[in-house]
Amino acid sequence: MITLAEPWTAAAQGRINRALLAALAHPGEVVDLGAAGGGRAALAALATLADAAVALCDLHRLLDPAERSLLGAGEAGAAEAPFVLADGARAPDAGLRLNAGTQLRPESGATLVLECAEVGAGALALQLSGPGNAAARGLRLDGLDPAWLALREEHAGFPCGLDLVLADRRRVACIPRTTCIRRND
Amino acid sequence: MGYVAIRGGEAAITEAARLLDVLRSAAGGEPLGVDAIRDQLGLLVDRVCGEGGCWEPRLAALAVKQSRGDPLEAAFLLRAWRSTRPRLGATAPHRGSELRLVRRISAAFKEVPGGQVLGPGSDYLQRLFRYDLLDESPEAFRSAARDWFAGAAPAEVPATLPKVLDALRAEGLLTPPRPPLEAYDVTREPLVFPVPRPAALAAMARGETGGLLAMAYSTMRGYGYLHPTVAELRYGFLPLRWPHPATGQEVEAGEVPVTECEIVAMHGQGDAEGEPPRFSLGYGCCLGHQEVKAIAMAMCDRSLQNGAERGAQHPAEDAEFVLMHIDGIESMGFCSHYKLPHYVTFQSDLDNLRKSRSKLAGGTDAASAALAEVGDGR
Amino acid sequence: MDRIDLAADLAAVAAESPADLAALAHRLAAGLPVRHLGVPQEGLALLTMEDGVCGDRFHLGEAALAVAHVEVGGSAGGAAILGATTATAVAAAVCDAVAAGGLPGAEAVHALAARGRAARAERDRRRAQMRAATRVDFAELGESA
Repeated sequence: MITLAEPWTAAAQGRINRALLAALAHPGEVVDLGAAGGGRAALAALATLADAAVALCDLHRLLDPAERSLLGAGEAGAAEAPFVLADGARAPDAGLRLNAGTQLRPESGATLVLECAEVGAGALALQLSGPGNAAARGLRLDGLDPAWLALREEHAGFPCGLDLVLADRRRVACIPRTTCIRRND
Repeated sequence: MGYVAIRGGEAAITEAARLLDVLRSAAGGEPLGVDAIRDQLGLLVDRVCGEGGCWEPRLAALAVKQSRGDPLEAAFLLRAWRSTRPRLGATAPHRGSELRLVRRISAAFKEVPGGQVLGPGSDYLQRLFRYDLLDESPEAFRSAARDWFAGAAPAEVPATLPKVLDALRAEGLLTPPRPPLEAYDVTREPLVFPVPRPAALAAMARGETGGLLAMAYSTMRGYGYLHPTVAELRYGFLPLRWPHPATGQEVEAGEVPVTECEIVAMHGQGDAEGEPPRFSLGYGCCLGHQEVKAIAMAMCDRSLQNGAERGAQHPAEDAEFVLMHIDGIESMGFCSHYKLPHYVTFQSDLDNLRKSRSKLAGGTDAASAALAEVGDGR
Repeated sequence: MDRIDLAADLAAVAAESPADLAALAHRLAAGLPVRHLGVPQEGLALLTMEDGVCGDRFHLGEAALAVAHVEVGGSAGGAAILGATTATAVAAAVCDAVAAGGLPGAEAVHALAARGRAARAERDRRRAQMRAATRVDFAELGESA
């Protein structure tokens, strides 16, 4: 009668979920989510990870009202939201504070989804090491303001911290809070 | 966990699971329909829903069928299923006064506003077998409901009725109201003691009936002294209100059967000096038609409130003792795990015992020396 | 008809004859642009109660609930139905949108809803009969009842 488009179907979300798990398990590995996000892998990731049980802060108003409605996630301020979506090309506002979780509830630390121009290519070169990577893994990015990486550092304090999902049109790479980042450019 | 470190047995495990299914049909007969279980074993299905913490009677009936009638195992199945479902949200608060009643009784007053309605109940029956059910004809089975409902209804009794306690409250004989506490999600937040009363109520609402009853029975037999009276016991159908997705206005999404019990316990002094004595209260409420559970819960609620106010003097007044031991899935799971292989831990116990025995047998002098050392305080 | 009553009536139809609801929705949606405003879902509603003696809020448990939120011919509709499938909830939401917008087929929705209303009335009648037949006036010994 009425069909839902990807990424809103259960089948697509199941597939994207497996891909995101792989990306999180191997920080920096570039994973192709295909066309599920309609040219926006960030939307595919959020459609899979968020629902009415969580809140989302769309920092730079990247989602249109129809997408927001389909997501179903509640609204929250940047300091509280478990999910934050932002334009990676724009530097974060000075003094921006996100939810890094607490010692007792580190799992409440935010997942920060950053839209970039390119994931897997670009001038910004990172070396990622830590759990999931036996040897340091390189990740190149285009259209990510390095100030986001500084913001991540400001919020680090294991087990608290932010988990990053970097997304371009089709691809994502994840940098969980357990990963060490070294600039290599 | 290391103590179930085993390998192998896959074929036997598969066949053991298969045997469960084989034994269902080994004696012949007809397969049980899930709808028949839901409709004719309704109290069992209600119990499974209540202890599983989820109103889904068709799947609860399937759980009863799949577990071959084991209520603990069936509740475990339902709770495992619910843990895979998305949480769509929480409703606004619903009240027992909204119940569309089929039963409403009071042990405190013979005359209550709206009257007493027995509804379906076996309270006044002798427990004698109905041997006619041994060989029931489908026709007789179907005619029971058809004939009864074909009769004309006598005088109307409203579907919703006021609470019995309202009159006592208006007279100032009950504990005065205090600011209400907000709900506590026991499915997502751990119980860290002391827990607020809403956590206790939620834990008891999905507690195991037998466990809850044992705690309540201890208070009846003298481990605590409540001397409760059931002010009201009601069973009916709660219209579940949910915001209309387009308008946001609350609409009725369907009905959930609920049993609710309010008890009046011993009267005590008011909180402050010079305050007049008042009755204290207890509250029980659970999914489905579960009267023993609702009454037991109300008694445990009162008992826990006494413990919170004056310090626990009896087991049923100790929130940790009560709430950590009434969950059927947790207690059954812990109990059942003991039959799984513990070969490594038990081998260690065995080694220790053998060493102790050989020390005692072979070295009496050494043992005496060791005891003397302890005796000297060295 | 009141939209609140319509929701309850369609929920009753969903319980009694979901196939009829699906068939009608399918017919109504055929000639109109339709889209989902929210992802239809089968999930759980956490049932919050207010306790009768202190007024504290607590969770009685959860209940299986299906929700749908659609737009049909420019008219928004929704449904939230206990124990239903997402397909049934979507069908009810389409009917709700058509009725709310006064779109072609609204009469058919009202006719189907009337069946749900009749089922609810029969259910209420049976319960009333149970209450009336078991209403009791206790008297203490020595009192005349």
